[in-house]
Amino acid sequence: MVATQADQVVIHPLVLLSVVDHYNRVAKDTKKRVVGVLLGEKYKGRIDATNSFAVPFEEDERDPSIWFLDHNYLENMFRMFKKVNARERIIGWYHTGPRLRESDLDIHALFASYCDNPVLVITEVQPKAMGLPVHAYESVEEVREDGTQKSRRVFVNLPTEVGATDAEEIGVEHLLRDVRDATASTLSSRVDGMVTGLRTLAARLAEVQQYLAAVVEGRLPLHHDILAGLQDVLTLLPSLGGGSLARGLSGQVNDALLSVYVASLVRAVIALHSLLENKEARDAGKVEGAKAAIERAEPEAPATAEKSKEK
Amino acid sequence: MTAAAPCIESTVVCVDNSEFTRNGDYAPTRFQAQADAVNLLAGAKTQHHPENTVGVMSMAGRSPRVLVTPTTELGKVLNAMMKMDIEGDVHLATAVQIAQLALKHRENKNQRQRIVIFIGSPIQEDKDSMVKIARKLKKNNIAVDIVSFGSEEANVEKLEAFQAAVNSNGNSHLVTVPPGTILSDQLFATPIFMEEGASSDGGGPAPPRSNVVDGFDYGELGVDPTLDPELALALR
Repeated sequence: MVATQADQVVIHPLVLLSVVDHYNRVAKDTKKRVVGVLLGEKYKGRIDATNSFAVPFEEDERDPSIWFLDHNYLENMFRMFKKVNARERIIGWYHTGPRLRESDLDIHALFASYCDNPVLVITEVQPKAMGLPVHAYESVEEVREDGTQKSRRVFVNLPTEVGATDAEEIGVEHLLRDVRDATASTLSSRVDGMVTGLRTLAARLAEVQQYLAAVVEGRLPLHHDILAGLQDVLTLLPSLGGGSLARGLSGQVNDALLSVYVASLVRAVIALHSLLENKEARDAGKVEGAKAAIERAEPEAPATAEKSKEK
Repeated sequence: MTAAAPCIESTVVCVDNSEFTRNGDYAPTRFQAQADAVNLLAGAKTQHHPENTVGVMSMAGRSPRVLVTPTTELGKVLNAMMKMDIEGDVHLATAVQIAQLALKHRENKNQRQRIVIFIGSPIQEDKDSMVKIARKLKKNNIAVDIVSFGSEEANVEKLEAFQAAVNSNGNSHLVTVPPGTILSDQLFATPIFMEEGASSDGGGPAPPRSNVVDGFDYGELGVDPTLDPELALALR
């Protein structure tokens, strides 16, 4: 049965939490990986993974062909989940990688009996500095053009993103309240975001450079789609070298700086002005207070003078 | 006849579905005879104790696969045997290790572990690696029963070494079935069907229970009376 390839995979936050929880319960601090099933919906090329559950899985580290996945457990568990939400179907499986392994194709074939065209999502449970921790793959038959090799199945990357429905977003926000640092102002968080974005960009560019070097050396085969995409990226870059552009940019920057300078001068002048006013008001107040004190003192002085006269 | 306390067991049956089993020296083919034997064995095990579980895995092909994880439902076992295809060559070492993993993950940890291997083609692994695997199985308290048919002479010394290494207090057996006979009947009298310490009625509990599954009436003794009426009468 030929099934069309999915266009996009959306992972919901509940799945991420469940996977990490599964890992922490079973294989924390070990090199083993954990495997589970993804439930969700497939609609018009878009796959939504809304729920997940774990399955007992074990493999031999040294021999990738030795692995065991309890499918009796899987079927029973799925039947129970179906009673809770009938719309959720098995759409694929996940494991905590962090990379693809040799036995993945075999395990993928096992899941093909539960749903056509299953999706493998590799979730990296160790915190990463940047980038999404999820990668989705689908298995397609690859036929060599010259027909010399037998067709084999390979994993193909699928565009992935983390999405949530409104209710889920509210839930996530509640959870993040304790995690997020409330003292960080919006400006510093925006700067942080900018820095992360730039770091990711730098990493991607390094990857592209490595790929191109490998293609030139002949280590990787020539792939026209990728090269066409790179060509587009490079031609779309704006040309920043032109003289008029540089002059215009610097003119605008200087104007902005000028207004900032003038504004700060004005602010300083106003501040000094208010300081002087304050001082004058205080001095005037002091003088009046002294006068009032003298007037109060004078009626007392004649009174004491009379008292001493009587004596 | 004193019935000892029934021991609960979890069995994984490793089936040989290599190309060698197309051979017709056992009627109708090696594979078919094997399938019948497996079905009878699963029936006997589940009849012996209601909590016994039986699982099935295929050994040949691209890689050994577990088709039925240990379950009490006989129907699943029968289904799996019907759907199994003949392909490739046996990977015995891998299959045994996968069976070991499957038994490790059984639901009821009180069940004893047992692997029943049907081997009907020449074994590719050498004797030393077989003995090494056998020692690992013995360390994990897994009993192994081997049914050798088809290529008996080629495999005899490897299997005997294997069985000697894995045997602890006589819980493991090696049965060689000569060609031209009915596989299931040959197995019937062996200790593979009759558990050690079980009631010696040939694999059935004292009160007769008719186990009607998929139209096969196994009868109270686990023998299909139409298959061999004389044997059924003899056992009665």
